[in-house]
Amino acid sequence: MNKHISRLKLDTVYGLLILLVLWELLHLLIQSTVIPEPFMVIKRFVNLLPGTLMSHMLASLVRIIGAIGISIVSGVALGLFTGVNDKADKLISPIIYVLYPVPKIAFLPVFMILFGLGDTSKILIVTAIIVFQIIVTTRDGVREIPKGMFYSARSLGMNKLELYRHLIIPAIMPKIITSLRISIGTSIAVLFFSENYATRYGIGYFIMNCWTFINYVDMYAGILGLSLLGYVLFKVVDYAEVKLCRWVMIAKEGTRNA
Amino acid sequence: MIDVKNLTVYYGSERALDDVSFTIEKNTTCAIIGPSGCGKTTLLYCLAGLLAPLSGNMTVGGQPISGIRLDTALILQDYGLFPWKTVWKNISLGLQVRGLDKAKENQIVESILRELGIEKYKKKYPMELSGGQKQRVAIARSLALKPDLLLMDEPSSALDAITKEHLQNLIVKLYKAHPMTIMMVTHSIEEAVFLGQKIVIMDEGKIKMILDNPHFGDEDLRNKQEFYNICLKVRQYMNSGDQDE
Ligand SMILES: Nc1ncnc2c1ncn2[C@@H]1O[C@H](COP(=O)(O)OP(=O)(O)OP(=O)(O)O)[C@@H](O)[C@H]1O
Ligand SMILES: [Mg+2]
Repeated sequence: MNKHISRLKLDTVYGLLILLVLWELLHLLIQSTVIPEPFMVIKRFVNLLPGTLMSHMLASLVRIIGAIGISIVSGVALGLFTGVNDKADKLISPIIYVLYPVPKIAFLPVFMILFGLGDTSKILIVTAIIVFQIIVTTRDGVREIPKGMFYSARSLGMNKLELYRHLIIPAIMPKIITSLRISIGTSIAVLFFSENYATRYGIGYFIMNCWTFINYVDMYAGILGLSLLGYVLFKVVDYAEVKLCRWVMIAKEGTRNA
Repeated sequence: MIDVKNLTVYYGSERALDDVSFTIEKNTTCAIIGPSGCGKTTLLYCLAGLLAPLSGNMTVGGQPISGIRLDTALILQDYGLFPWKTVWKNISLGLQVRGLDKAKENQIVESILRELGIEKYKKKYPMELSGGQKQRVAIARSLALKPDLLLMDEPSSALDAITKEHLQNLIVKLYKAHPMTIMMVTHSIEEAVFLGQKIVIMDEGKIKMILDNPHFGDEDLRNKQEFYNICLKVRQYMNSGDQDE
């Protein structure tokens, strides 16, 4: 277990280093205030973090966690239901397929009118966008479980609940982790957009506000904050993967060493 | 122990088993052999209570089969181990489902690991094991439940020749140590003769012939002439009626 964690840490340092070098190079190459010096931005970031950035980041974090939480619970539940039950699949999947490609973000005004200007509409628009991907991934994950596994589980004497606990949920867990990663990326992008309306809190708002005032260093500090937020969320998912899908990690290691 | 009468099974409109009847006495072994697609796995699934036949009667231990029977263990062709559980967890799963208390569960798992010589793999995951090791874990998982009927689908088909013989010897040894009825499906004539007291030859959903094999249980059988005589006999029965052979 510790091996996996320390490996994650090493990867992080390496990734950050490359990012900083590229940034510095770009700054030197372009010679414009649009790309400030990384060190200056980091200093500004550290100064802004306690008083200003923290509260913006927290506001965004609450919205992201709210949206992802609602999406995972409802998406996995619906995905399991349609994956296990053929009749439900026939009834529900066509609706999902029709709704999936609709650009939900375009309905932001509708969401704001229906659910108010506050956090509810912001959380629900993100939910509406990411939940479909989770439903479909979960359903397909259930379908991909080999039939023999069900036979094996049933012949051991498992009841329905135990089938979920020992077979279905563990089998789809790697897929849930993957769709969590995708959801984080998407929800940050969507949130950035929706935080530009009717709010004075949120890292998206902060960044756009700095831009309006042509304060690029602050803007970059905000971008750093947003990145950090996404990064921390990704690391939480990585950690969950190590904890919940140890067998997948071992399988990956096996193929890497082979 | 097993009594099957006029069993007929369809998959959709395709007939997989056609009027199959046979009996197997308690605490004996039976090998089912036949070409691919002749319905061997289907028959095993019916006996395991996983498939419902269109018609016919099946009883195990005097009771008609209606769904899963807790004293029947099934080992699938691909072993059916759960990749997300360690060897230990895979083996203890059936016990856990039966609501055994932890202490008793640990004791059973420990002793079965020891009996099958797989203690050192107990913390490993199935994908870290070889085919033969996986098969032993699957057998351990079944034996932990102390079944009176063990159903096995091609237990050695994925193994190399040496591992195959080790496994066959192991099955004979386990059978002698734990009285139970064993019914296995195989593609290999040698395996059928080595492991079956009764050899059921199937073809296209029907039973072609049932042979009694008095030589079962002799661990040295492979070195004897009788072994080859029976193998030849089985081969001839399997090929009889085939124009192109
Ligand atoms: N789930 C299924 N749906 C439809 N047809 C099936 C299904 N399972 C098996 N069959 C068909 O039923 C017949 C018997 O299949 P079965 O799996 O019992 O054969 P088998 O003797 O075990 O073959 P093998 O030696 O290749 O494992 C085959 O013709 C097969 O195509
Ligand atoms: Mg088969």
